[in-house]
Amino acid sequence: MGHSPYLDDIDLDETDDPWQRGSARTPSCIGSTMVLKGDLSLEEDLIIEGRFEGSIVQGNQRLSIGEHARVRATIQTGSAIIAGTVEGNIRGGSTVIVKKSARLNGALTAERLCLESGANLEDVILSGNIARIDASD
Amino acid sequence: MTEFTRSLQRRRDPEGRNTNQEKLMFKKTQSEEKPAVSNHPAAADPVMVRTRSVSVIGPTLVFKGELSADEDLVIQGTIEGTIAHHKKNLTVGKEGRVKADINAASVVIEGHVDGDIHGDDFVELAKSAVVTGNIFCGRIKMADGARFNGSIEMGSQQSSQARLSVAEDPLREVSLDSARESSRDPARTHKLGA
Repeated sequence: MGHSPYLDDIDLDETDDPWQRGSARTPSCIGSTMVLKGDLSLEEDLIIEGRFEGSIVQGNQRLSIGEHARVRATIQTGSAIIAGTVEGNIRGGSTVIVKKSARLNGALTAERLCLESGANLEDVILSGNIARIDASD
Repeated sequence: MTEFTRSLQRRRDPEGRNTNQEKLMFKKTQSEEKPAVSNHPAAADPVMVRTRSVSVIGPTLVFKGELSADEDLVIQGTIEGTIAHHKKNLTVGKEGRVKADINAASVVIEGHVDGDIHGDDFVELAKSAVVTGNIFCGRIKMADGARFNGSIEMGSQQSSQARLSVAEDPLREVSLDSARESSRDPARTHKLGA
């Protein structure tokens, strides 16, 4: 996969790695073997690599849905990067990035949307400003 | 539609501040992708390694429902419901509040737990632990200062297994006496738990 110019704009200075800098608040992580069914609310970054069913209510933080994650939920979040499978409505307060490995089904609402071509958006209702569409080779 | 537009306008103000956050997020994407795309060892990024090996439920997280996992888990947040966590270690951290029955191979409690704790291998209560419920375990370690209200049943799993295997085989009368002995324990436990 070629690097998108947008990502290349960002310098990778290790000292400014948010996940290092913000290590006082380590992101919560739902690992690949975890299965959660229920209602989740949190005020910190969240990484989902396992399965989730229910609802996620997050403040103005970041959500990362990994490539192998399966999520069937109503999601309210700040910013999100989605690389996995999501069934349900997603509402992002600022930016939502949809990676090419993502499969979505539901309504996706965000102030800014970044879509990577190749993402499966067949049954998706998009609303928001499409900030960019990245071609993946 | 109009509501959405309005909310957009409201959000447009802090956009300047948000770009920084957005930038940070992109960096995360890239650093996260690197190992997957180019097969670099994940060890290059210590943070990612940590998040991969141990799942963490952070202090601001509140979850109500069923949780099951097959990996080490640290709970610093609030969980209500059930926790099925076979074969691996579960830690309820100092800030952790769990209102659930816990099943795991080994359980370390540093926070609050309201519910039964099943640790097939061992259960450890640190000095900051506050536990209300029954503990079923192979071994137990309780620090000075830990608060615990409930009963402790040790080796209950073996005895219940023995009872089951004997009960299913009526011909094994010889071992029936010993089975009766061991079956008494879980029965009593059940009464206590109820």
